Amino acid sequence: MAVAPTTTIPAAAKEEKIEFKRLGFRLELLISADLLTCTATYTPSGNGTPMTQTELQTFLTQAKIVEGLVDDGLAELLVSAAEGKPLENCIIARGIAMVPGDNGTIKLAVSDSLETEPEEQEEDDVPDDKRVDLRRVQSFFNVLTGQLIGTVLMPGDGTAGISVRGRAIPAQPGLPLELELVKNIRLDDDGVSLYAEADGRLCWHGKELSVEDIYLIKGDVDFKVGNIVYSGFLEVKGDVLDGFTVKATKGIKIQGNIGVCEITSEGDISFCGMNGMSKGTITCGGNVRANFIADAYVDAEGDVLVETEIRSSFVHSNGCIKINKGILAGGECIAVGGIESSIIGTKTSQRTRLIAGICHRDLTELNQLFNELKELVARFSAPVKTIDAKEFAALRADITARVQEVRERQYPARNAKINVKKRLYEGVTLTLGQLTEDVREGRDGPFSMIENTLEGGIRYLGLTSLSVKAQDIEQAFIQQQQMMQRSARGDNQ
Amino acid sequence: MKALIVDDCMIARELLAVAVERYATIDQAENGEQALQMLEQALGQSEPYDLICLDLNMPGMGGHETLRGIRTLEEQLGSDTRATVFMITASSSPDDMMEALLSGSCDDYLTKPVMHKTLIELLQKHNLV
Repeated sequence: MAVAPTTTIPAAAKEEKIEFKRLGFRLELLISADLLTCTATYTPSGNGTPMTQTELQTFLTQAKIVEGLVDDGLAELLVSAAEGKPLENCIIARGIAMVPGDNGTIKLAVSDSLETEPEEQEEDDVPDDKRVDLRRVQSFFNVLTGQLIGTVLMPGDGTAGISVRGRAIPAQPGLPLELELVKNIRLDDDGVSLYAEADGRLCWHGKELSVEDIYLIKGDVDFKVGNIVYSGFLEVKGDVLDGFTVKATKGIKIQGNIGVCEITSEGDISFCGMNGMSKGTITCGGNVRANFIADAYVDAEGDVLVETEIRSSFVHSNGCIKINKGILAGGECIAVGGIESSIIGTKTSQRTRLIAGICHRDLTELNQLFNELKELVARFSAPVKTIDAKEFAALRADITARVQEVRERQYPARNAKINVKKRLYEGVTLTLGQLTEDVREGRDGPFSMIENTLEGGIRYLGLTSLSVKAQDIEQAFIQQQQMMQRSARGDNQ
Repeated sequence: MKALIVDDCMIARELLAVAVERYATIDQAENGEQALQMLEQALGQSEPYDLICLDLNMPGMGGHETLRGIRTLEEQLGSDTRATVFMITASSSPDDMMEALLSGSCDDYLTKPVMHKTLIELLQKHNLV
């Protein structure tokens, strides 16, 4: 559109009415306060001739209505005039509205962490597009140190409009962003890029922008709070209800109890108690501390320290597993750094499996490798071979090398030792390093158990702390035996 | 070199075989009876085994019984060579292993899980490689 306004005018404060009157009719033009519309009201009167097109053009010129003439409106006006009919509020010109500029804002470069979380699959017939997960209510963004949080967008200039009188309506620029970087956020030298200086969640309250690395939930993790995926330390004052997922990178402290939940952290995890109903899981990159754990799966890179009991749970630790005052019974506990409990097993000989001095991941890996080997041999031994001798030999050598590699792994924390403070009941299967034995008769504590590499079986010793390693104790026995042998040889000579 | 690996666990046999097959032609037996049959056949063909790796704990004919059978067969069939026998044992039964060693019928022992490095050291010790 070729519009070349020579001057700009401010928008009129109120609407303007222009009246043209002669014998036969009265024409009233009403220009809106924003100068964007012109409406016509035609009233025939007396005996005069109706308004003609030439007259209308003259009136428009006199009223300086030059922009955005509405052909249909003008035609309707002229038809009404010719027919001697009145017409009210017929729009005959329409200007172009000014478009105000966008306010300054931040274009976020982060997304909701829950969007990347897989949705739980439920076994029903509801199609995915009709299913709503009421636990997915997280309303904050996670950021990592050094991550681009967003870009500051400057306010827009807007686009000028044109009035029905052909004059420019100046654009209204957007408001500049009022921003105060409170904590853990850096504005880059380019003046627009915002970077996180800590892991945490992005908080934007009013003009204050910050990255908070501690997230406190004052009550329970329930449907109000929803699942949590957080880059930082999370503290929950209440419980975590069944079915919720809680993930926090730096650690999790739950003052209440945990139900059938999935709790994950690269740091330490502490909670009062957990009844996982054989479904709840804890995956921890540090130490786990709790009052009790029941029917749960726990996988910890560090120690698992429990005050009263671990029951019917599968606990895997690359550190040690310690129950301070109570009982360890049911399920399976595997700890590289040894196991200690006041009572192990139950009077009813509940099946309990304890493995000390072995990394559970190695066990899993070895089982997988053994299965691979079995499958390979089966393929090679089958009447119709699906593998030739050369390929079989190569694959077998590869599996064997991997088995050897797993078996040769060294762990500084390795301690094939189990401590019993009060009572070891029958029905417990113990694995201490390479030795596996079923406890067929209960035994009162306190005592420590290590593998007897000289005479076989378990070596029962007075209770020593788990910090005293089994291999060091056994080495002392080996040295003692060697001394005795040397001494005996000396006597004979 | 010709070697016979006797173990009821197929995985254990395969893992051992990989370590030994660099130095020997390998035969495998999954129990004592089968091992004695294979030994008898080998001795009959004047191709005796140089090395026998024998698991101590096997269902049916155990390691000790198989070992006695091996030595008896070697005597009966007038073999000039006497196979070197490594008894393989879990660490929980060293008394059994000591019994075999002391009787002189067994040449050495390996503890499960057998590490390739340890096995090769034993082979070197007995001048088999």
